[in-house]
Amino acid sequence: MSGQEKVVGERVTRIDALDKVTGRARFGVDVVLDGMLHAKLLRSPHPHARVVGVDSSATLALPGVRAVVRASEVPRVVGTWFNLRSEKETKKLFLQDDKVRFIGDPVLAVVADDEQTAEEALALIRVEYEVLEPVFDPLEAMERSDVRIHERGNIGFHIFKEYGDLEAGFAQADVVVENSYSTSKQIHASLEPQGACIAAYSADGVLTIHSTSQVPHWVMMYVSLALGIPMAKVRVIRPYVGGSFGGRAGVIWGLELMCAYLATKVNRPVRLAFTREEDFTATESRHPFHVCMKTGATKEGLLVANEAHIVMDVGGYGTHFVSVLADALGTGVGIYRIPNYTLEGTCVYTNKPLSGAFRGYGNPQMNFAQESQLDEVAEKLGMDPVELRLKNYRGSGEMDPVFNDPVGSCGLADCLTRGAQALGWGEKWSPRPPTSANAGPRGASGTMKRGVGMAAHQHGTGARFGLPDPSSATVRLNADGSVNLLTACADDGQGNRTVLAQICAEVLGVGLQDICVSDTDTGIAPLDGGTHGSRQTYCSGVAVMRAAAEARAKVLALGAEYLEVDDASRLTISDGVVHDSAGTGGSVSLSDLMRHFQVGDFSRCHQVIGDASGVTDAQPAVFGATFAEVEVDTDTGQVKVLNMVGAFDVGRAVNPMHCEGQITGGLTMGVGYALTEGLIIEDGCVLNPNFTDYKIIRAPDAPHITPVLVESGEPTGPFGAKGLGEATMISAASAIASAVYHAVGVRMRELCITPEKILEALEAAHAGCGKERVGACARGDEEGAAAGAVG
Amino acid sequence: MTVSFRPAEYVRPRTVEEASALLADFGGQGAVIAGGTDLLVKKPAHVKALIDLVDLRLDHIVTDGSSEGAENGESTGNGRALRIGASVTVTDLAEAHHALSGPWSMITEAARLLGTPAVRNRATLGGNLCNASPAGDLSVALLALRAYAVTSGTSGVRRIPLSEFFLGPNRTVLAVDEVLMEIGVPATPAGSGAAFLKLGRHQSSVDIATVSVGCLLVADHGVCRDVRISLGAVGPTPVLTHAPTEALVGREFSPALMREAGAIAAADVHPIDDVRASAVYRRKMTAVLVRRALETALREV
Amino acid sequence: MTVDVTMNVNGSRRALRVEPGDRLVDVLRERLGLLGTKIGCGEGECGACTVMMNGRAVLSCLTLAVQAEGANIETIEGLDGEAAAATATAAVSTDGPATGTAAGATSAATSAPDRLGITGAAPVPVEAARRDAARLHPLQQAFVEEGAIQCGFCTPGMIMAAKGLLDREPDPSEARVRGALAGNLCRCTGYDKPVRAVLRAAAVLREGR
Repeated sequence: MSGQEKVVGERVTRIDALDKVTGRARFGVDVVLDGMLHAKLLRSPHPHARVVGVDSSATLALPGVRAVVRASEVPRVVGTWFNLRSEKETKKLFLQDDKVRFIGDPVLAVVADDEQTAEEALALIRVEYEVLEPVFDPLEAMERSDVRIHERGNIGFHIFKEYGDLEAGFAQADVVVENSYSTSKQIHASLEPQGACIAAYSADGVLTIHSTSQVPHWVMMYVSLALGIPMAKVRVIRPYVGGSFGGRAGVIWGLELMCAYLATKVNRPVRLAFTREEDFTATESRHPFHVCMKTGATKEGLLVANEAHIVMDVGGYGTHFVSVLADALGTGVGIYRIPNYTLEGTCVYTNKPLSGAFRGYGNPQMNFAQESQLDEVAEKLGMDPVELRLKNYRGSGEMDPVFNDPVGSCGLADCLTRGAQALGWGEKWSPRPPTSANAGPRGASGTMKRGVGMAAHQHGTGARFGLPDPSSATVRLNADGSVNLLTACADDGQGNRTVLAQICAEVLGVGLQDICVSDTDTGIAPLDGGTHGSRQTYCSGVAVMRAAAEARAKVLALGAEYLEVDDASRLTISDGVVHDSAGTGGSVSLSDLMRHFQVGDFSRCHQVIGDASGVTDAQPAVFGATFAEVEVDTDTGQVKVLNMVGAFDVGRAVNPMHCEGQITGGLTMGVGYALTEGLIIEDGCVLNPNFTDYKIIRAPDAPHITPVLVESGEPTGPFGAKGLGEATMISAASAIASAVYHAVGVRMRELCITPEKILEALEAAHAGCGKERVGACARGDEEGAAAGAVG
Repeated sequence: MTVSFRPAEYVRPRTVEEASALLADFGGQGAVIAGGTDLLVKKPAHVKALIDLVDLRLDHIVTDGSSEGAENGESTGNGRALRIGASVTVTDLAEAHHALSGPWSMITEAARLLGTPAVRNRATLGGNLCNASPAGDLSVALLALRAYAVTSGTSGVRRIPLSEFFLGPNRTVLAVDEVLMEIGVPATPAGSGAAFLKLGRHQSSVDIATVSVGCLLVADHGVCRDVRISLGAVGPTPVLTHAPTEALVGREFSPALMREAGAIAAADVHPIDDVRASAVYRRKMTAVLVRRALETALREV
Repeated sequence: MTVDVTMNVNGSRRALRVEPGDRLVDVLRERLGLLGTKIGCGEGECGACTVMMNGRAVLSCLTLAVQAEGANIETIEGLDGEAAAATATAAVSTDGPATGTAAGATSAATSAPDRLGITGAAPVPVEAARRDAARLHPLQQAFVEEGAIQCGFCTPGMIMAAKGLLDREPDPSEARVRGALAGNLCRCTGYDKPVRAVLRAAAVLREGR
């Protein structure tokens, strides 16, 4: 954190850039093993059913078909690595039964010589189902005891947390705002489709799995426990992966465990890969939240009470759900100093594709509700929304009631003020109701209305206090001074492998080019929690620091011996040279030193190895604020996001270029969450399982984004760094909703915000005769006609 | 989902007659392929033979001086009609600013808004029309321009006004053995202005139209002499709406009149709810887009 | 029925025997081992399969191999210096087996079945050869320098789409660049750095002309 670093803090090119830009990088879908067979899944056409019988006789007679396997032969993962912590918990991790619980739920797998044969084979299989009544609405599912999706019913989890005295809190409030919110089922839609897995089972019982999972070591353990193979003999190798965003935070539904099992059955490598349509219909997506929230504040703008009731739509099965709710709780309660807060959360099963981990992990949903509440509170108080946040956020050193720990580094105030400045908030914002100045020089004329909005958020880094969260690293020096960094860090594109190399190089005093980062391979690299919870830079970075520090200490000890210096601690390493600059002025290159002790002195033959494995000291909160400027076409309801600013407290930007990339990417994904994305499901059937109808933001539509990096210096983090990846999209939708309100005076409380909904809201507001100003509808024909904007 | 698109035959006829004969031979199991950007998405299982039209070289864009008058028989203003070969790519249309000038520039606009650049580089005019999407951008634009299709089959050559070309979603009047050869666009009279507008689901640069409008009008000192409005994505085929014409002809253009025309058009269409938009929204947007198209077309006069 | 097609792929003439329904993307990937071109959706919506065909960006998942008869095909593998050097010595070759390693993340170039001519030159240290070989096209160089690559899955398609633009329009505006990339979905970057990279490459190419 001294600012004198040579590698950390630099905009270094990522170490895999060359592989990727030349097309040489091999992704999950590219992996080919000699002699591999091809598997396809037969998926349930029913949202809720029991599989009664399977007739695969015609299939097995087809030339080239090797096996047909029932899904019920393979355990399904219905938890997370939380469940690894004890045998009792692990029993809850796996589910094995004959039921299917959403359209697309795997029923069986066919293995054949090639994909075409596998597809033809599927068509020949007869499955007999006992069709059961489905339930699709979580609010209804909560009430139905006659339709039981799981044995214990439809409620997967319930929590009620109380801080302070809610009634007393509201009694102090001068302003109370109460609303309901709902959010959409957003899906990751990574460019590499979910689900290509190749498993191979060798004669000596070693199972090798090529998987795109974000958490290779947890996959290793799941597979080991599910199939009864010792962990030492399960090896998970991760190729390059084309984006995950949480969609691969575990095993992919119906993929790795089935593929591994098939490999053990047919004794040949087996490839199981999903089409884009299967990705859209049968893999995890973001939990839709239904939130009822009541917020109270004093006229001075102090938040005094908040009451939240959350219903989460888990879908047919739960994997990440309890922790998602916990995240919503922690981040919602944590960010502001609200002394009286109750939160009730219910996770409900429905017969729809399962929900799971997705960038932000419950926080974007909670944030949308809570920040919208605050936006409305600010408006009622006639207060600048930025000021409301500045007045109420929990700062460094203040006690966080959820973690019962004081807040560590906190750069939220800087995020708010610098972010506001970057957008021109001072010039562009004014309290509503707007005057006719809204139609003036800011560019709005007639039907086009502009507005600005903002929102703030807190998120976490890692899962130190909620889940097993190990990070490990091994640093090995070679005889030429080059370094192998063994890490199971999972890089989906964030650049974390580069960042870890930067940290390693910095601690060791060598150049980035001297570090070779290992493959993400559980057979090579030690136990690591993988990528989720924005943890790799912080958590794995700490492990790398510790391992590198241990290696460095050993190097210095050897250096002292070599240079005949008594006190090793006065030696330094920089640019790959060990110096005794404070003493004799002697020096030796790292390569000469290592060669001597590895192969030069036959009585030593010693390799310098540094190791670390453990947890971090903290789970630091990361903070941010998103600002948005929008233009609404009040004739069509269409929203164009003109400008956005994302200001984030990253502790320390180990690689500012990577941070900017996360910000522009995350904010753009947030625009999609706000305005264009969501699986449309009717009677359990996904109606938009393709990119034509599931709209992702494209280049011409991406807003102009200004990233602002705030460095508060997290003392427990590597060189002060903490997490960023998820934070970037958490308050984007909230900011856009706030901006839409500022532009046209309607509160959009349901994501995604479609033009139809805006138009309906405008019409309803207009019909409501002046309770809220509505923009163009209040204007005369002349202005409307003069707009002349093209649709 | 099975992928069973496995055509066993592939032929490249040199002439249209040869193509028609092949289509007749293969019956319902033969399909023509030009760019392939629709066919290879649909991958229809029944197709056993692909008839590649690339060697037919139907890639002309010509304006000729023959007096292909407007359907209403008035004397032609620019005196020139347009013929576009069915194999012309959408990119070529989008870039043909010189040839497609004046009111015909709405064709380049429709082409520009169709799909994405790589799709446009392969997709053809003929393919887009024969795909007969109710939201087909080129279909809607050309329908407003009174375009007609020239087809050739074993029974001979036909000229089919586009208003009679589309039967339903993805269905045209083409017989099994017929090949679309070119599109003809009659000359437009003096005082013509045209516009093509397309609305997607949100401010998206790439989308199938939620509603699209083609508009060709003739104005004389601010008075409407004629107007022809086509609409996409509000019916089972691209449609013409005649009701606004009756309301507009003979009257002086004004913002209020255009708003009225929009409302009339909205009342004249019968859109459906689908995954992209509701019928209610489509009606509202019909009104908005028709009004805006009239405004834009008037400015082009 | 099989069809014999001949196409020029990254400067090498290739003769292949294909089925009528074989997609160009599958032929490139599985028959010619050019795995840099990706399949993101198979429906022409994501752009990950974009290659150049006769000087235009096209979607190889919506193009049949038979339609590429006689065509010049450029893939991402054809852009950088190593491939250019390799193709200079390659003769006409039929398609080789699809080889690929169970590659981890740090593997060096996997096999492309082009046969390199034996030149008899002195051996070059591998690392130096790799550096020399990476005579990146200005678009590739710009993507690297601007930090425009994150997961990298969309990168080959995006670069080919950008090449399709710059080959015809050497001085595009930012709006034109964004329009040229409208067919390439990216979930990671938000497009900001890729757009900058294309503009930067355009400037470099203009200077070089």
